[in-house]
Amino acid sequence: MEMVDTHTPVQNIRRTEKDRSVEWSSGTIILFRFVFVFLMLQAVPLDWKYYRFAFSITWTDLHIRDVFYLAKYTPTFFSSYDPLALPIQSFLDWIILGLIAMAATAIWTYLDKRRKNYNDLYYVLTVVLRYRLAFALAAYAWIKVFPLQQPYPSLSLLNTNYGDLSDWKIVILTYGAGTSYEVLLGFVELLSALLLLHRKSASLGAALVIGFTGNVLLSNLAYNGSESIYCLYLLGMAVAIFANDAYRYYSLLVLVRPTFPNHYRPVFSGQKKQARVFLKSTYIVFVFFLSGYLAYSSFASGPVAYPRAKGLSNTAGLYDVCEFKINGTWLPYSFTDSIRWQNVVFEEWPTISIGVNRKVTPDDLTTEEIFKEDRDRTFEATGSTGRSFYGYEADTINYVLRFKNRNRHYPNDEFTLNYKRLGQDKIKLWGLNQNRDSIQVVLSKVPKIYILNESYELPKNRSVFD
Amino acid sequence: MKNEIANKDTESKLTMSTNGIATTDITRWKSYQKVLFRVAFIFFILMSIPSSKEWWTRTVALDWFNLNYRDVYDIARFLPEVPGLANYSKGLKSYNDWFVILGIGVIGGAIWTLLDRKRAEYNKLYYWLRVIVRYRAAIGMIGFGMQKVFPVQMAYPPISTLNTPFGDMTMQKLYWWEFGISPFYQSFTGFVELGAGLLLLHRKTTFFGAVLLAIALGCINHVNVAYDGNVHVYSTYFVVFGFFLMIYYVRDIYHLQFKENYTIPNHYYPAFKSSFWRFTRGGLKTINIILFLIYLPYLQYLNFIYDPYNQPSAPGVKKLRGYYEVVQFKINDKEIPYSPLDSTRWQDVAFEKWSTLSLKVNQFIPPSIAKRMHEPEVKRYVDQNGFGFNSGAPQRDIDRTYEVFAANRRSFYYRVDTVNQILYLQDKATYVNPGDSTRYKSSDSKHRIYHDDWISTDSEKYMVSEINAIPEAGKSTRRTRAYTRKVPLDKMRDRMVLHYQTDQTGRDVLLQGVNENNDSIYVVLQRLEKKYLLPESIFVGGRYD
Repeated sequence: MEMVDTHTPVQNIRRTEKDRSVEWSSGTIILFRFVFVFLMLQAVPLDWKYYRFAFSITWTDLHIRDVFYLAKYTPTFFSSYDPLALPIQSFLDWIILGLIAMAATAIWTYLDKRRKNYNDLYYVLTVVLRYRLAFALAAYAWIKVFPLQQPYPSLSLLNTNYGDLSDWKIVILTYGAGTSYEVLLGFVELLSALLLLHRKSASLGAALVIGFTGNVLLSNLAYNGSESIYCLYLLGMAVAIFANDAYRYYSLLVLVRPTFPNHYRPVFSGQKKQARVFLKSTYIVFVFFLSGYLAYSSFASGPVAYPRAKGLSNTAGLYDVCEFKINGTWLPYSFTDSIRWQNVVFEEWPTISIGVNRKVTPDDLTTEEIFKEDRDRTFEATGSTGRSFYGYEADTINYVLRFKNRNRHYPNDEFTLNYKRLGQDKIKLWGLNQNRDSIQVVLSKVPKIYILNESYELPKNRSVFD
Repeated sequence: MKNEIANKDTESKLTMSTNGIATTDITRWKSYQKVLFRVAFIFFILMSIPSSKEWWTRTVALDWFNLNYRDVYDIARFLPEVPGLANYSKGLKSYNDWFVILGIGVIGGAIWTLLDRKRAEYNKLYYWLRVIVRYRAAIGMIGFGMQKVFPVQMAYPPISTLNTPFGDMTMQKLYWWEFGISPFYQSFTGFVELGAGLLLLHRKTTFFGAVLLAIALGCINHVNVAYDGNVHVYSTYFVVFGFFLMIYYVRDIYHLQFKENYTIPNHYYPAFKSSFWRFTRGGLKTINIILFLIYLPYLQYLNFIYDPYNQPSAPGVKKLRGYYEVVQFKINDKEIPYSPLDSTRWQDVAFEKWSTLSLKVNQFIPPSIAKRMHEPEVKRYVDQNGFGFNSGAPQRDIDRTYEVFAANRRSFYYRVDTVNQILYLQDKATYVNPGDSTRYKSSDSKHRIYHDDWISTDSEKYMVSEINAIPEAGKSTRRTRAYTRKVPLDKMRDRMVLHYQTDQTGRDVLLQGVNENNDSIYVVLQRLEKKYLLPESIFVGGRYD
């Protein structure tokens, strides 16, 4: 066998290579103008609603929620006013921004015909995008590193049949069950945000974002999540950053040719240098330290998805409905009855869920939201049928529970029942239900063990099976 | 040295890099590089050679003219095994074979260093080592990817799972169902893995393939740790291969990206000058492409259509399909009313579109089962529910236990005599209870359904044989062999013989016969027309009409 070393000596190659960054093709120049205007409009917060939100924040008492929404900015043209959250873009907003950018490109192209390249403006664009993107990623990273984004399934959800959950809810709960995977994904996002901060490592960070957010986009499309446009928003920025080095990688690794590095780097002097240091450190403190701390303190005080208040003491658990009387008639256990309760879950917080064979119109929540107030934290009641979720207020002096349905489709579903503890594990409830029927129910706690909680560390053989 | 490329327009704001030229002299390696290479060479060669006895026996036994997709996949599926080492499922211990192999590499590398001191470089050997590592990883990835491209690796949840509470399933199961509910997403991830494999097959795109390989399998590794899966070692294997392949490019990337040097890559490729080598190379490449990129996808397609390996493939009784409420339940003529807490009475029955009947019954779940596996009752519980195993290999429907992964449910495989309307059911779980192992030879009339002739000759006449339960195109030697082999564990399975009676619609069903303890049971079922919130998928495998 004959082998020949085909590497070409240095001196022969150098003259034949051209640095593509010096002279751009006219197509690239026009494309750049469009991309510049489009992405600047996307990334720089020009939307007045953003400032309305920013001023509504109590800056002296920040919550991870505030940072989360500050980082989730997208410019919108048509969105209804929601005092609780910033609106998120729709595809229509993209069309309008695209039209504006096209008009701007046309004018710009008419006015500026002599340009050979926009290396300087490209650098400005990537700086804006890098910091914008890093903020967006860090916000999502922190709520995974301290697992808030996808909570461990609540008792009620552990007792909901798989087919009674929406696909998006299953995704959230599955990630929530595997906490350490969620944490790992958080660190990956955090790493990409950190890489974006440094000029030289920015394209590695952007590549990581393309892989990560690309996957999130696919999951949103496949599982009916509602953040596809936001994923595209982030992806567009990542692609624009990566594009700076894309050809270099192609040339170096695929063509295996001598390759010019990036030539351009900013020079700051005097006051500019100080201003840069000041701005960058403020940014880092806010995005990487303060936000991390806020996520941590939120995590330390319990999952943000579920209410924080405490429920009736010593009640948490699954209850069998051993007696059920309605308008004076005892109803026996039934698998299919639409009136008789089948089982009841008391959560640690003031929520009960009743399993009853009735069609529940599911309350949808397919975007990522964080709420401060317990009444808004309705995650548990969303994306499922099969159980009705009620928040309650307990009057422990008169032994009365006031129930209100947590599903936004049932705003008028409210009722009040008397309660009495019959020993450790039994609770009796009686009064008028939401239809003004008189009911009397005896609940008995079931010492149920969940395989999900037990499954970790089940022995099995190491294998190459799958 | 000064960079000659200037950009006058932007000089005021930006300055040009004045960095130099970076290149690598590959004609002389540093001595530490040579030492490391020798160790790596021995390590990766041993890692890439199928060393398990199991691999060789099954590969030798292949019937090349009637292959199952899994036969080809199996060629690509192996881990290095050091004879005599124990198999651990958790922690660093589970990598024990690798440490031994690394030890062999270090010792071998030391001896090699002593014997071969004058060598200036190992370019040629390094090239071929990378070829081997690339192909090993590529084949593994193509095998992995193809199972998802046609989504069979994670099946869509059956009726029984749709009616199982979220908390009654294991972590691993949940993760797999999550992929199962979206076959399109599963297919996408399959294309990612396949893409990594294809990029690795091609020399020029190796770097990107290696990055994809390391990231995708790194995620799979962590999923297996987080969700208590069992392929964490096999996924780490590919991550290591991916990183090894990346090393070759790291220096150039570092210079280009971080030192901002004009970077001149120096790669070594052999030139295949003699026609003998050209033909050998072309021949091997062609075999590889035909086997893994044409034949394997074709077999995988057949598997998806006729015999999706993670769900049973024989169709179930057509009239009896769906989710049923147990309206009435009598055991030895004694009626037991419905109660969610009763441990004998069935609560629901699911007839899948395939040969499975599953039923819900309240079982006591032992606490801390993971820690109490040495207790026979706990072990029995775990085995009975199929928590202890989950393999993609089984060919027989009865062994395909992927669906049997929930607490409070029992699943039975059945064969049916549609003329006399009799279901012959066998438990899908095989747990070993000392008392059960002798039932087949017991003269106690109570155990008559455990005798070999438990299926009446009359019924046998009207039954489709198990081998012929799927269309000809889906059959393979591997499957046929599995059905003709005697499986001792089958004798341990619980059995039931139930006569069924229903009308044309199959809405109301009466099951009557004997259960696993020879108690006579009388069960009235009524189908519930349940609408699930979870969307159905059209992209699912199997032919059950």
